[in-house]
This record gives sequence, C-alpha cells and structure tokens, in this order.
Amino acid sequence: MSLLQVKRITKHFGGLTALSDLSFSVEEGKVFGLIGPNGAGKTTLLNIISGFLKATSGNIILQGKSITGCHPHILASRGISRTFQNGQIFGNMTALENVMVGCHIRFGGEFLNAALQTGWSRRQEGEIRQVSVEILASMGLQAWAQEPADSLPFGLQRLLEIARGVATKPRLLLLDEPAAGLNREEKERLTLEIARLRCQGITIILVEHDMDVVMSICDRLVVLNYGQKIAEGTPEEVQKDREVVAAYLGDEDGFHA
Amino acid sequence: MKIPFIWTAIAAGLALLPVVLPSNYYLGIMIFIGLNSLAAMGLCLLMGYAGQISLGHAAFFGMGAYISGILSVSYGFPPWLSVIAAVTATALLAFVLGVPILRLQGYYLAVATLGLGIIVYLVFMNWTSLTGGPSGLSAIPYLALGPLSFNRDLKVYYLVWAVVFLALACGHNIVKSRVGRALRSIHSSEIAAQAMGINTGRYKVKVFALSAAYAALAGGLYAHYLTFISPAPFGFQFSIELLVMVVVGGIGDLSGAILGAAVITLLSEILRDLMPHLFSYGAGEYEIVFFGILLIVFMIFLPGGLVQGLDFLRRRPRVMAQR
Repeated sequence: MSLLQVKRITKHFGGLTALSDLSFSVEEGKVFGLIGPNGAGKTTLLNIISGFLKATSGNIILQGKSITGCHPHILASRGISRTFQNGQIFGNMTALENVMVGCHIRFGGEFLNAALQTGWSRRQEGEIRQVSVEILASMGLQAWAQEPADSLPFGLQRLLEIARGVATKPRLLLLDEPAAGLNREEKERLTLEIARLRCQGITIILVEHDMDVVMSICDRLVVLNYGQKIAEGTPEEVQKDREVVAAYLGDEDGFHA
Repeated sequence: MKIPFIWTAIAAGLALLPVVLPSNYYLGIMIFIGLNSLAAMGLCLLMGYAGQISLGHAAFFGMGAYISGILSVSYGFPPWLSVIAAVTATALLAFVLGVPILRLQGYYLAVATLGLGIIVYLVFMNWTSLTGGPSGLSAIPYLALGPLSFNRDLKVYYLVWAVVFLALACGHNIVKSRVGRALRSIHSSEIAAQAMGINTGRYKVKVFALSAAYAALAGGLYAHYLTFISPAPFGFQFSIELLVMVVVGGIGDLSGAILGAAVITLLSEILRDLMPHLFSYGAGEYEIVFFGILLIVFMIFLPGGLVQGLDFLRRRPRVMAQR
C-alpha cells in the first residue's frame, strides 16, 4: 500500500516554475530516493511534503487523506518528520536534549503542569528521558549524550538530527542530503543507520547527491530535472536511463556523479 | 524538588538582611530590586529561553500597576483581588496582542514591541478620566491579608521577596521541563522545532503572556507598595533598563535576572546621587547613556552575563589545579 501520494504538484516562485505537474507515490517501508541536478526542485518538494511551503496546485495524500497545506507541526503529529539540508540541530542544548525535543509530541504537559511540577509531569519527564536515551544509544551516540550538540563532530551532528527525527515516531522521515560533507566512513555508517530505520518500518524519502549512498540504499528512485520527473524506477533501471545520464553528465559516459 | 545549598543561603541572607540594614531607605531599594527581579525574570523567559525580544516590557509592568490601582481605587476591589485581576487581564491582553506581534521576527518584533510600549504609555498619560493622566493615581490602598496590612516597608520586603522566590521556582520548573525545551528549540531553530511537532506560534504567544504576567505582578505589588502611581516610571527608559538587567545578569539564566536587577537597581541609585555632581545640566539624561555603554560592554566581553562570569571564576581554581 502506498503511504504517500504526490499528486500533480506544481509550484511557482514568481515567474519561475520550480515543480511542474509532479506525481509519484511512495510505498510503505521503503527507502525512496529523490535525485536530480542542483536546482531540480528536490528540496522544494520536501518543503511542500513537510508543510513548510504551500504548493501552487496539486495534492499530497498521506494514507488516503489529504494533508495539502497542513502546518509542519500538524504533519509531525500525523507522522511526518524531517532533517534539513543545512543541518538544524539545536546548538543551545545537549545531544540528549535534542532528542528529548523530538519526543515532544509523544508526551504532554504544558506551562501550568510544568510550573507546579506535578507528579504526573515528573513521571512524563522521566519517560521522555528514558526513551531519548534509548534512541540516542540505538544510533551509537550515547557517549555524547551530555555534550553540547554543536560540539559534536559534523558527521555525528547529522546522525543526531536523524535521531531527533526518529524520536517523533514518524511513519515517514524526510532526509535532505544527509551525506553532504561526510567522509567515507561516516557515509557507510549513515547508510547502515538508514537501512536499520527501514527495518523498523519507517518509510524514508532521501534527497541525496552522493550516488554511492543513493544506489546502495534506495529501493526506488525518482529523478527530477527542472522541476519535472524525467525518470522513475529501481536504481538499476534509472542508471540505464538515457535522459537521466544526459541530465547529470551531459554525455553518455556513465553515472558516477 | 531539591533546592541547592546556595539558594538556601541566599534566602536566609535575605531574611536576615533587614536586621543589619541601617535605614528604611535601603529596605526600599531592596523592595525595588525584588520588583525589578520579577519583571526581569519574565523578560528572561521570553528573551533568554524563547529568543523573542521585547522593547516594551515596561508597558506590562505599568498595566499591572494601573489596572490593580484603578480596580482598588475606583471600583473598591480588595487589593489582593485587584492584583490577581490585573495580572490575569495583562496576561490575556498580551496573549491577544501577541498573536499578531509575534509573527514578526528580529528587528520587526523589536520595533513592534517598542511601539506597543509607547502606545500603552500614551494611554496612561492621556486617558485622564481613568488613569488620572500625568498627575497620576493616588490613595491606592495597601495590600492586606485579613488583619495583616502590608503598610510598612519591612512587611512589603518579606512579601515581595517571597513572591520573587516563588516566581523563580515556577520559572525554573518551566525551563527545565518539556515546555522549556520547546522554548529553547524555538530560540535555536524555529523550522526544526516545527518539524518536531512544536506549535511554535502558540508557544511564543504563551511565553509572551507569561512574561507579561510576571511584569504585571511586579507592577501590581509596586502600586500597592507606593500607593501612588504616575506614567513616568513606565516609559521607554524602564523597558531598556529591564533589558539591560537581563543581559547584565545573564540572558540564558533565570537567576541571572535577579542578579542583573540587583546590579542595575543599585547602579541607578548610585548614579542618581553621583550624576548631579558630575554634570550641572541634564544629569538624568546621562543615566541611559551609561546603561547603553554597559549593555555594549557586556555584549562584547561577557555575553553570558554576570552568571557566566561567576561560573567561570568558580571553575577557574579547579582548571588551574588540573594543569
């Protein structure tokens, strides 16, 4: 069954058409790759799916229900979370607190409860901490729990951002270029983590330029160019596609961007 | 909740302080430090934790004072009730005003809150039938609890500082909770906070209302302590002083607001004595210049405020020993 359907999405920025009549659907429990040259509209599409941008026209359907135009925080509670291309960890908190913020929607307690430190709110706090420690440990970041998040090595900050997203208990996790700036070892670790999330049943949309990562982990790919879908299929199928090769390299030598 | 030793010591010190203070004048200053601490703590919740600026917080202090004063003078409310009503009304008003204002960010928010402060000040000045205009509102009754009337500085001193510690405890609990983390996440990255399911707009408005409530509580206590209020203390300069208190104390630390309030209130008093000796003309105007310079110096050399400075001094011996 398809978890997410993108239906005829078009997005104009003034006179520029960033996305044009784009449709595809994402199967549950798969890693879905979204690739294309710079400026193809990949991040724009992620922003529309996660509610940060409104599409000019078209619909986004999550499990049969339209979520078009919903606010990001609503979508998070419906099971869509994401990471950001430029990294948006909370640098003013520890690594553990970052993940604890991720747990926000799974727990309750507002100002009054917090101010009065009711027994209930203390129990909630204990649970939040426990769940967060577990998630951090599952990503192999337990040693960094009490460190300021911005003191983590870059590659680990990326993993922390994913851990924080996982803490929201998403059905669908959108990863925007998680491998950018990582070294080979870090990329391998990232690939393993993504595979592990898939095993947990989290569906993933991966925007990525690194073809090693994309080809090794994605179950299915959509290729965008100038806001249009130019190919869709398994990594093998897409790699052979003449139009894709042309869009990426301008020649037919191969596919090693 | 475990209370750290240092706070027990500070509370005990404050409880014994009136014994050694030479005159009521100093008790009065201590009361003002307490009132300013309350307002500065509120501003600290807004600025230090949620990362939203307000250049008009004196307006909420003034609203607390005026609403409570008017209710008790013109409508015969018992002072306790009028303070509670004033705090509630100010918080509600801040909530409603916050909905459009807090959509703005950065400079725009600063200018909008500045405008809010000016408008409220003008209302105090010009709605003469209600506020008494420039000549103010007098004969405000003292707070009273049954037979206990807070008609002496000593009693008000204990009351104000009890409220300060209560407000500090509540604020501390909030910032250490799920709510506090949500606020800090907004400070750091609003889009990431939204992606975590945090309704950032709603939280910003709520913390704005809470910080207005802190200021209004201080204002209400102020009105029933002095028994006379006029618009002058609630102008732009006081908003800036509150801001300086938060920054000097330590913007990311609630207890820093108390430290900042103490330092700035004392400096204010000293400057008031000193300035006329240094400048023959317009001495009052130089006070704000001095605070401006203080603000710049702190932003450059000690952006974490005095709390950070003290923390550094406390740790240094250990660092030295490790070498």
